Amino acid sequence: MKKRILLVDDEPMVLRIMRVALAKEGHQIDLAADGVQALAQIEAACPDVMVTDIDMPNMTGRELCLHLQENMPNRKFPIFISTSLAALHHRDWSKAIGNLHFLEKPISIRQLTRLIDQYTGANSPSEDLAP
Amino acid sequence: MGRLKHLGFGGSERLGLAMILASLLAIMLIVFALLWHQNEIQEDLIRSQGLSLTRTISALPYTQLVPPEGQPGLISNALQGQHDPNFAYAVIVDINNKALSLASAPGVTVPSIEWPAHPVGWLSDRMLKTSTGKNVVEFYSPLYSDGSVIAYLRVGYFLPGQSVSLSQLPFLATMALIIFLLTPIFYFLMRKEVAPLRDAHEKIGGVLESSQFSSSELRADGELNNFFDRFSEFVDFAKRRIDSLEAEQKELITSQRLITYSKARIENVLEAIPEAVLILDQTGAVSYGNRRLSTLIGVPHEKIAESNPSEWCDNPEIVNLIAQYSGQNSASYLADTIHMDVSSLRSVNKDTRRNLAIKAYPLFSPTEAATIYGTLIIFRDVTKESIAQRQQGEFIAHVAHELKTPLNTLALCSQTLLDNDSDDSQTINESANIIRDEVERLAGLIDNLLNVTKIESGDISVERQRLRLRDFLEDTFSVAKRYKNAEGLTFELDIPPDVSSIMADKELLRIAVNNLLTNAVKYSHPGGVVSVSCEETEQTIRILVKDSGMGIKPEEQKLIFDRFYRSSNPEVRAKSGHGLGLSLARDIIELHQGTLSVSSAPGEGSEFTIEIWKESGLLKQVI
Repeated sequence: MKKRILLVDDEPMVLRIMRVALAKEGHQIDLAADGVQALAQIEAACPDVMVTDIDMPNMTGRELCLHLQENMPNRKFPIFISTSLAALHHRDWSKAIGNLHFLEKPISIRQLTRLIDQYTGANSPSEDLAP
Repeated sequence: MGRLKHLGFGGSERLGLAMILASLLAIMLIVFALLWHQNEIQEDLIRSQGLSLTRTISALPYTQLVPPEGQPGLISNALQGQHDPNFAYAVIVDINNKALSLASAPGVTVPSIEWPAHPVGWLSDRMLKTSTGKNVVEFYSPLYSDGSVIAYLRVGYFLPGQSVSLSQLPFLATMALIIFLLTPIFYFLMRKEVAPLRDAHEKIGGVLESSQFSSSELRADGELNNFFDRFSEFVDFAKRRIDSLEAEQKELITSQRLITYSKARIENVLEAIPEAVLILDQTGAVSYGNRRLSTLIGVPHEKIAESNPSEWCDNPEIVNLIAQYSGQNSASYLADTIHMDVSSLRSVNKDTRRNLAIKAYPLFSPTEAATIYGTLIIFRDVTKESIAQRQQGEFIAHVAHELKTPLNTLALCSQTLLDNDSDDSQTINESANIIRDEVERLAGLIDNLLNVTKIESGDISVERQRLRLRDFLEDTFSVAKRYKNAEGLTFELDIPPDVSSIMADKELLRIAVNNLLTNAVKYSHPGGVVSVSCEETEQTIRILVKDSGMGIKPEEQKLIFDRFYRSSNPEVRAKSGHGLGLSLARDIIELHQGTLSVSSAPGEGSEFTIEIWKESGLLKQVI
């Protein structure tokens, strides 16, 4: 099922490979280099899924998620956060945010595709998907 | 010795003269005393004689004393022709003071006196003067007839004078001669008695001149020898005491010099210590602060030990810290170094925060190990270390981030290839391209890191050689044309054929120019122009690397040469980069004593200018 996916990362190479890999699965891909661009993209066209990095200039992934939680309380689309910080205490800030999932780097496109299908097919509770 | 002579032991002549004068004075006194005594005796004799005569005459009947007129009176008969040289006169006067009968020495006039209206009725005497000025003692008594006073008897005697009569001269001369002859006897006796003292005096004078004294040299007879013995004992005692005091004084001076030397040495050591040092006494008062402390806090060195810390230190934390060590029981010494981030110290710019590492040490008494008699506080300015540490930490964090980012991308690519079950060629190609780009990026990053590290550590050496600039730039430029993203760009090279050679390190300069060209290509839009040109002045050569790309905001133009700085421009950040290229290029140009500057306008492109001396930079510096 074709989804509109917003990829947010300040590394162009990451966006480049993910766009190719996810487009191959038939999804529509929007790109943003930071949180500010992502908000503009969401305002322009609300995605079905958002995949974001944390460490970015201008607005970090964390700030983006907290902003969405505050300004879009009825958000339906799931958020996947790619991170290399495996410790749970690095994720405490996200406890109050629903429908948010962590993906540990490096992201597996296959796993991401499966999760997108899973979380956009039916509403599932928030959980940590990182191994 | 001369002083002692002056005081009496050298003037024997004067002693003799003094004795002669004394003997003359004694003779005069004795003569005067004898004369005075003789006069006293004679006066007593006259008084006795006068009183007796007056009493006798007054007892006679008035008629016998004053016979009828024409007959001689008793007084005239009895007293006229008196051979007593002291007799002056005897006269009977009536109550009207009229002389009734008179007997007098030749040439003597009875002194006239006012007779009282009611004369006294008893025998008495009085002092009068004759018309010739001689002193007369007059005895008088009333004469009675039928129980009434009808006349007065006046008897006068001359008082003896102070003159010496010829008869006394032999006696007085004999007395004077005896006394005068005794004088030389006393003089020689005195000289004999004084001789041992004179001898002792001369010996003591010799002692004073030679500073050597032997008690055996002082010898005399009798009591004086005992005195000399005691005196010698006293001198020996004094000598021992003086020797002892001199030894003590020498020890004291030596100790004082040692203390002064030790103090100066310790102060020199404290001044040589690179840290600021503050020493407190038992009461917590400042007893010493080295010059580095005064430099650190910005107050005169003398003021530190003279005033309360609150007067010279604006930082309350430091003042409170010093105050902790007042009193003998303040044993709460810091176990660890305290780090203070202070901004109020006078020596530094108020806007600059300064990091101090402070450590206090108790100073224990050398005699009582448990007694703390002061505190040593060391202030170390660790601002530079802190900044360096922070910068190093930031550098490592940047490096780690810059290394991890392409690794993450590589990991993502590899995972994507592993997941690519359908062998999708587009995914494979894209992954391969990204892997190549990221590997190049990593290699460039590592090369730049190595070069930056070498420059920072000073390991890199500039090996200057004569560089034909035109050949060098053409070669470097041709490589840039083959860069990724170079397709679609126009490359222009404008190097004058007769451009001078320069003295530079070819490989280092190639890295700098390459980095500029890499950026020019990377941040140019398709269809843009990248050019390299060269300008020559009298002393310098300018290499200009220009592009028509994204440009740099004015506020970022100062920051782009900082390590790891990357523009916030999304268009720029979309390109891979690590923020070390320009920093390294600037370092390399500065190693050549040159400058690297930028001129840019957003959306129009950038122009980087390398300006480098034509001669050796080192030579230029010397000139």
